[in-house]
Amino acid sequence: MQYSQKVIDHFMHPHNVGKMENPDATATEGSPACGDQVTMYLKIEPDKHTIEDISFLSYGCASNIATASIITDLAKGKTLQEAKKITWHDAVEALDGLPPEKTHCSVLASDTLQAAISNYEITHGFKEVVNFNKDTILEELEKVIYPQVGEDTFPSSW
Amino acid sequence: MKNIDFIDGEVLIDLDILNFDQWHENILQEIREHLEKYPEVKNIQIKNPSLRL
Repeated sequence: MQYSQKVIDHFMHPHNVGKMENPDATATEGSPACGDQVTMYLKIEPDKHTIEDISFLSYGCASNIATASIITDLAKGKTLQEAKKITWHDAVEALDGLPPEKTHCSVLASDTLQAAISNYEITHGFKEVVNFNKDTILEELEKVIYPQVGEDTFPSSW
Repeated sequence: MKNIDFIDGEVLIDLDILNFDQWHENILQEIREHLEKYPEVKNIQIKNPSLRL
């Protein structure tokens, strides 16, 4: 399995690691019982709604740690609207690629960032809690990656 | 995936990945991980296409 130098660098020396004291929002995705887990912490500048600070904790593999590290780099300083557009594709590109069978590891970090932003918006009244329905299932299934080729198993187009 | 439904807490997925695909179990596990975190999901039923010779 061939990792890019960027993946190795971010795994060996991850950026923005650690628990944040008094974060404005946090989210934990995944489960250590069955796989990886990532927690992210956000500090939000309340007037401009920018991500002033961000950090993470990971219980995962090299790809998971590297992806969480690069995602925090990509999100820092961005407005919430800009950060909401960050996807696992952006993380993989910024890492100069991941082996296809490890691409699914990148999804957890981007999911966690999006969940933390969503939690912030809900707790600050910018967003309503959406009732669980068939669309929620479809959104979740779009995050499932077919490992052999590193592509979405259920692309959003279908 | 051919079809998906959500009825009375049960997610029904008609999956278009063959049982002998080497990533079949990984895909099933990921689907469960993504959906089981929702308290609204009481059960997940995943059907696979049968191989007809």
